[in-house]
Amino acid sequence: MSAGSNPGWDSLAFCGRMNAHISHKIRNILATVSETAGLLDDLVEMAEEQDGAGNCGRLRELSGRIVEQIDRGQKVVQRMNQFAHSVDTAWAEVDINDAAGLMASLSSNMPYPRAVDYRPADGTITVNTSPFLLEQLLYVLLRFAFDGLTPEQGLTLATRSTDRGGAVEFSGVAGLSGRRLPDEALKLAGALDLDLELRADQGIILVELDHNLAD
Amino acid sequence: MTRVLLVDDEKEFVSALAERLALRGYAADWSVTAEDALAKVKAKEYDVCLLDMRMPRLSGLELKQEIKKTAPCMRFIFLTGHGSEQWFEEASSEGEFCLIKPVRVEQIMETIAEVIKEGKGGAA
Repeated sequence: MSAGSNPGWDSLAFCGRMNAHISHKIRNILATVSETAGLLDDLVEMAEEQDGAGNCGRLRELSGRIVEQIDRGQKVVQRMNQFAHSVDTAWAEVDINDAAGLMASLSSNMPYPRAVDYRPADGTITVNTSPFLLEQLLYVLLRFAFDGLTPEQGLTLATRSTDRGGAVEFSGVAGLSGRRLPDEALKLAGALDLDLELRADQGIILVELDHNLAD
Repeated sequence: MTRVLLVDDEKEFVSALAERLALRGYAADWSVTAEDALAKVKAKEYDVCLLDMRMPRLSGLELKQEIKKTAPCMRFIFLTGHGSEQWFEEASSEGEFCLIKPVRVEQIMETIAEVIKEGKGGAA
């Protein structure tokens, strides 16, 4: 599978490029709002110095709220941009820490999200794989894991190096007994030629990747 | 007083940033087109130019080369909203000062001070 030879993949790559362009524009808009809010804050500060506090405290509180929301928006756009770039190339050197970290962050945008305690391994764990399909697999597994959790429960997502390459482990996943992994996850695992294991009794889902899956 | 020219096609962004810098003691002008930036550089001296990497007709690097024909000692700081790690690494490796939007005004002031101190961006 490679960009340029597969019409389906080319369309996906086009979609990714368009999303990257759009996220770039949104980032510019947020930067403009941020600068305008900053200017408002500057002017309020000047008014405070010249005329005393008056209603300035309230204005500062409101401009502070705008800045907080801009920061929040910037983080979402940053993740959107990173995700959009995951279809730049069909196969690539991927740091498992980056892929798992991105999906742990994006999981907060899912419907009915659960808390994810992300624990990346030190350094980088590089494998040759499809960044987009790997992220899709992690997304499917997160949704599967969330289904077994109550709103108060969270799960741990951890990465580690292995002799073969690297592993991503979902742990603390309650309510797995009697369930089987989703077909979509099994298909993706097959396409990526990686090992996917459900240890229901331990509340663990394990993904193991080789260094050079595409070879 | 440090003289700064801000060039960015996002008018509301660049005008607000110029006003914030002016409140902090900079002589800050702004342009939203390459043509206007070149005209300002011909009419007035600046110490530093903050330049958007992606302008409609000229890239930031191309505009830098045009400006340097008139103002060879001008120093440059590039701004981008793209946040592409590859672009950032390439530009940084060429010795450019690069900031990714959004950027705090304090960080811009620190970078202006740094670029003036180190004299980077002045070489052709």
